[in-house]
Amino acid sequence: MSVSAEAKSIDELAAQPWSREVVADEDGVFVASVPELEGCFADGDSAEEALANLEQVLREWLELAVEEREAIPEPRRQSSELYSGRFSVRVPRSLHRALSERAAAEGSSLNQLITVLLAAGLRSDAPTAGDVSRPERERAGTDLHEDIAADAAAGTRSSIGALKGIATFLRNRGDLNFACLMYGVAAERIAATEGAEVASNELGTAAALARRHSRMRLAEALWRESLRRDPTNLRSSSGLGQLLHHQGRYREAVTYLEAPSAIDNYALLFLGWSLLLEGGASDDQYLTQRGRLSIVKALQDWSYQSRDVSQREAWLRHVRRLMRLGPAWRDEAEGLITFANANSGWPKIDVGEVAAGPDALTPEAHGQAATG
Amino acid sequence: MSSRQDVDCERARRALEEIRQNRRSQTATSLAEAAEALGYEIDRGRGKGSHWWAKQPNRPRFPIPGTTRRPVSVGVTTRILGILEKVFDDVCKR
Repeated sequence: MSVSAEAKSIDELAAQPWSREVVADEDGVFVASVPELEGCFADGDSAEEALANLEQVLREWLELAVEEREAIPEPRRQSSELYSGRFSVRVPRSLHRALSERAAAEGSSLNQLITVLLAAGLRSDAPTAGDVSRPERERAGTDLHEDIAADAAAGTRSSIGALKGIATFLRNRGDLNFACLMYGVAAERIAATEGAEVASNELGTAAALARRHSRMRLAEALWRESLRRDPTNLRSSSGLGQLLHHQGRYREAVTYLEAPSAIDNYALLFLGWSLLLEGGASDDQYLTQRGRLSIVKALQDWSYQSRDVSQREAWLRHVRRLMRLGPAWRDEAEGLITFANANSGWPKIDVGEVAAGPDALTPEAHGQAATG
Repeated sequence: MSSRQDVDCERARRALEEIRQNRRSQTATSLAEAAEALGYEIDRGRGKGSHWWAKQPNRPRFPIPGTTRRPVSVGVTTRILGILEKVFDDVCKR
């Protein structure tokens, strides 16, 4: 493929989207070049000077090619580099807000959401501003799936957005397992470009998504990978610990909940339950006592100055569960209720109301806890 | 303002060896001589005096910017050397 030199003036040829490269040589002098045109280079004491000199050299290089009736190579940027994968668009503020809210509701980034919506929009038969019909688009070779897959396959930083876009697309279709897997693949690329800490957060987010949709094994695998990347990720540590607790794996849960319990009240609460249940199963009074103290502290902190009434029922389920462990625990539970009545913004709690309500935690956890 | 040269592989070999060994001390003239030994003609009529052009049909052309910089920068000398070595291999090692 080459540019038809005869059909174009030197001005037109020079205005083609030729690539430019600037490198500093061993002595700090800058050399600018057009990679497509062998022998088209110029130097300068600064990158700007080298590029300015290159413009003159480029024109002369093209003049000589035309004089010699040589075929001129195609500008490399013509085909692919013109499409960087980045552009800015002006939209109404209301649309911007609606997109942001939906992204937040779906737990995705604005970029991911817009990528998926644009891809879906291009594939649909909905009318467009240019009123281009679908058959025309297909004749033009528009295949968004292929384009996004090609971007995703590239081992570059730009592949991360494509991979996350595919993941969001799969999630919206209900393919949760593959969506989470794709987020995991994106995290691999993130690790290479942005570091282990960012990749760990990405894996933790994917794990939380899997957990919300009851993909327990997948969530566990993602959280473990997150912690392999960054063992200090307290959020992932807490998530994995709570998951293990709900599966009745209390001893393991304790190892993951210890560190985040210092800053995460939920981690402290589930650490307490895991210690309590593990202590009960192994008849270890020390563990039981540590568990009791952790639960009491977590539930006190939870209720302290809380005005969120929707939290009241969840809190009560934990207190109710304590109450049912035996007479000694009933006193502990009543102490917590007294504390909450004095310090929370919730409607007054009646001890009788607590005793009659449903038990704490999830049904499966309750079953496992009972056996533990 | 240009002159066409016949290929002189022995002169070219010596000139390229000299450039390889002393890349920081090449002038426009020494680079032009090496190019001429490989059949290039030097066009001194372009570039508003800031550089010359080494050109030859069916070979890569290149500018020699040394007329304002003495010696020619290492980066440019290395690029010119690369082009001339390819031409040398093609012309003199067949």
